[in-house]
Amino acid sequence: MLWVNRIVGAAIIVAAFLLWELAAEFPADARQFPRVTLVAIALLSAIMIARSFISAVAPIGDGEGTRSLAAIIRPIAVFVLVVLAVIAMHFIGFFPAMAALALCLMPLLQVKYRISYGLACLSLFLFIYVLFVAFLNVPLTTSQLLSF
Amino acid sequence: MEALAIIADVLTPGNLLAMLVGVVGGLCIGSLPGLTANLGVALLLPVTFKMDVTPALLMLMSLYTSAIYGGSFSAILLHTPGTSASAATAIDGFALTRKGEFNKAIRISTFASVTGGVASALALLLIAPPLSYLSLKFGPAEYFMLAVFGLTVIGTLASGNMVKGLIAGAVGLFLSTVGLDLDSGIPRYAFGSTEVHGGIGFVPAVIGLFSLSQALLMCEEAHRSIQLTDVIKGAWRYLPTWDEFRRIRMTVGRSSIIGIIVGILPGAGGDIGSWVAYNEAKRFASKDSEFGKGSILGIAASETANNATTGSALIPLLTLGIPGSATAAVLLGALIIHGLLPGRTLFTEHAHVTYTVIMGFLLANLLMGVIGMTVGRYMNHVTRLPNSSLIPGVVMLSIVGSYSLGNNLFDVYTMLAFGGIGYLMRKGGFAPAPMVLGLILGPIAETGFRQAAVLAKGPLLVYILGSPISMVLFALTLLSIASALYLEIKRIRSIRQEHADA
Repeated sequence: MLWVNRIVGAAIIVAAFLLWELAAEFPADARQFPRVTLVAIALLSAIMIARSFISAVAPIGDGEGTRSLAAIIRPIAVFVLVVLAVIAMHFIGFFPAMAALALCLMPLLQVKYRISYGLACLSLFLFIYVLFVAFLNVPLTTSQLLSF
Repeated sequence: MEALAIIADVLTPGNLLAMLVGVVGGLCIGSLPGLTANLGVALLLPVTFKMDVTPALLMLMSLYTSAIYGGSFSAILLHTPGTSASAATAIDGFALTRKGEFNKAIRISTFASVTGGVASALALLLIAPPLSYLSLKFGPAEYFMLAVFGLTVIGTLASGNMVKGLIAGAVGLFLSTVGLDLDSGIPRYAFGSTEVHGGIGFVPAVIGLFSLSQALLMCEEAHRSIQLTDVIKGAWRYLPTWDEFRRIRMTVGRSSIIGIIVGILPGAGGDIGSWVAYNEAKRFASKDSEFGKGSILGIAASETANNATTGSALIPLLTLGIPGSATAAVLLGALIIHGLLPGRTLFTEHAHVTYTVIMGFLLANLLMGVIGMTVGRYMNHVTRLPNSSLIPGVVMLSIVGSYSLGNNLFDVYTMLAFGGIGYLMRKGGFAPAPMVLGLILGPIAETGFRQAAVLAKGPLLVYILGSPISMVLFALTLLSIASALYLEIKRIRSIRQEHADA
């Protein structure tokens, strides 16, 4: 994990430098505070990189979840599906998009009991409809395709 | 008369319903391994937007305390703490369950949690009002130092890695500057988008950082589910026996005090409180051979202390605006969203609301005990839900929750962005709580910083550190960094030693 700290630290320092430069366009009062935070971010990132080279104080056991690169494939795939579902929400409406998402997640999450999973999703849709649509009057997106 | 009016207000059907929803929601969320109090409060936050301030805060605070208690169910049943605050409970609780004494473990856990929660509500009621006078002495420099101190403490103590915690906090501070500058009207870091002129939405960011990132983490073990054998033998008993009460009373009293003290310390939440109380109980019960193998003292110590931190974590929050825990940081955002600013005004201008919420919090702890024991025998079904059933729920509620804030998809995209960032942060060892706090404290810190810059006649640093309060806050900031550094190096050395021994 130490190499992650080095790469992330370096990336943060570069980003902080670029954001510092962008702040030059702001009035003097408006750029002071963001620049103070950027200096702090860059300094701390430098410390993080330096620490990763000193074995006596190098961090151990950072990070949550399973410690393998293969383990993050499924979360990334789920994240991509969620982003696509949100984009689809705009065109086909909230409930159809979420139903499609629930279907696509089934193989990815290795769902064993499909009927229970389906019932759980239906209950969730009902809960969302009652709470957000009927009770809180949230106008969830509807299908734009039907309006043509 | 005012006290009676407050009690009458707490008992209105709307407020009771809000507490009931919070308590039941918290129990379910807390009992599910992987779902935390932070996630619950973040998901519930959008629902409270259109509510009156009192039931909204009551619902959130009830969920907070109930989720901490709910964590004990999965700790006792599955040896898997529902929340990190129940980790110590798992040791003795699960040992009792394996002996078929699930009921005994749950009734001790419930009694201890309720006692700890009520004690912390009383501490909140007694300590917060006088402490709030301190906020009257705060000027721009003190507020700036307070924000720095709050951020440092959460960044250093609440996360395992001090430097990464501080980086997350500083990034949160920086992100709070995105949007229109209120003085000049110039957009900062908007990159041509008018949608961020109002700043980065705090609630979508919180939902993304806590909820969506958690769902993504759970995807790593999507098929995880646990099978149980029969854990309940005989009739279901709701209260501890007289003998059990006599055995645990001193432990409960001591752990309440420990929990309250630990909860007041910013950054030190229920997990630290429960371990400190557990260790103290172990020290006092040196002759108890059952300790660690199913002792009711272990359960009582851990559960009393973790619930005792819930109310006391709100003491620095309500009086000075420093959250005592990560969940309290989200509650700080809720206060601000509902137009309430921490400090003396909460106990003067908004006294009725504040005291109603505190009294309601006390009642919610009692309600939690009644509901907990009633549904306790069925909780083994809830805790067995596999991740694959929970993930779609958390994802969809995150989407609909962030959409409902302003009925626009931009908030959902913000939530998605912070969800992705939050997941990568957590994988890389960056805790999301300091970033959330940075987002909340950013405007306070910047206002203090800019006003101090105007008022300072000489060097800014000399002005900021010029008052005794600022000096104390500065010293505390250094102390928190030094203590975190010491603890971290000690932890690293012990891990290295373990590796070397192995």
